[in-house]
Amino acid sequence: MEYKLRKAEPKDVPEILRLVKELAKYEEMEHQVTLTEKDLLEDGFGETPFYHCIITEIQGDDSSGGLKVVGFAMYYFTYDPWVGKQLYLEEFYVMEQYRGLGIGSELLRHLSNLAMKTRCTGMMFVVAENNEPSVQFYKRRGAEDLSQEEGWRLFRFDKDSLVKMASPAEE
Amino acid sequence: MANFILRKAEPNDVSDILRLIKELAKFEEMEEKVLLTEKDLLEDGFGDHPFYHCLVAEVPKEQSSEGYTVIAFAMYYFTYDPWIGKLLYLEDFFVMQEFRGLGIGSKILKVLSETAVKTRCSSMHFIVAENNTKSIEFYKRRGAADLSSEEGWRLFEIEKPDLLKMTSK
Repeated sequence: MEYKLRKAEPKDVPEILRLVKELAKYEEMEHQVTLTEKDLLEDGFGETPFYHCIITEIQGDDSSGGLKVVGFAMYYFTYDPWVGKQLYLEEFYVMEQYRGLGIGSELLRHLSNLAMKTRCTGMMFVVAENNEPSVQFYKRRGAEDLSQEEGWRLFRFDKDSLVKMASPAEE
Repeated sequence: MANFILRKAEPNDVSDILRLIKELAKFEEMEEKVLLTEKDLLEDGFGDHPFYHCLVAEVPKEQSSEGYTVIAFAMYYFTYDPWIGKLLYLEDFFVMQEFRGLGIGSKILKVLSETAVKTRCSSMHFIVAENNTKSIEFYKRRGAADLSSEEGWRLFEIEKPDLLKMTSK
C-alpha cells in the first residue's frame, strides 16, 4: 500500500483531532480530550506554533478516490540545559487497520532526520510503563528508559495548584 | 532577609545562567556533562525563535560573598498536551546554597505560576529525580502530583547515534 508523509497544514486540523481522540479512546480516556479544532488551529498554525505535526496519507478506497489521513506524529522542541535542543515526541499514532506496513518506522525515520537537521542532540518522549508493544518498538531502535536508568519521575502542578500559587499568600 | 528581585533574563545574563547550570550539574555530580556554551545559550534563548525562557534572581553586590549578583534561576519553555493544549515545562530550577531558605524558590514558583495562568497553560510539568526527597517534598507541599506514580509514565530518550542509525535505514 502506498503512503505519503507530509507536514500538517491548517486544513488537517479536523483529522488531527480525530486521531488524537482515537488514541485517547485506545487509552480509555476519550472524554479527557477537551481540545477543540479552534485550539489546534491557533496553537499550531499561528505566529508561534506550540506544536508541529507530520501526517501520513494513503489513497482512499472509497469511490471519490480522495486521500485519507491514517497516522500522525505531534512533536515540539524542548531544551536540555546541558546539551541544548531536543526533539520531543508528544504523540504518535497509526490507525489499527494500517499497522504493520512500516508507517510507524517511516514516521520515526522522518522525525530522526528532522532532529538531525535542526541540530537536536536527542529525541525524548514518555511511554506508559504497561504499554509493552510501544516500549519494545522504541527499545529495538535504541531508546533508553531514563526513568529506570536515572530515576526521573514526571510531576505536574494542575491549574488549581497554579492558581493557588499565583495568588497572594493568605495571612 | 535578603533583598532580591526577580526578572526576565537578558542576553548579558548568559554567563551567569551557564555558571548556575554548571553549579546545579555539580550538585548532581554531572558537571562534565554540561556541553552547552554561552554562545549556544545566546543563540537558543535570545534569537528569532527562543527555545527556552529564563527567570533570574538578583541581589545587591554587597550581599553576595563571591560578588555574584545573579544567584538563582529557573529555565522553562512551553510544551503541548494534545488533550488539553499548552503547558509550561519547568526544565531547571536552582538557588545558590547560601541564598536558600529566604523564600527565593517560592517566589520563583509563584512568578512561574502567574506566567502559566496568564499564557493560558493548563498545568506546569517537570521531572524530579526519585531520590531527591527534599525537592519532591517542596513540590508536593505546593500541590504537585507524581504522574510517574499515579499514571505510570516513564521518560525515554533516543540519543544522537541511534537517531543517525534510523535516518539511514
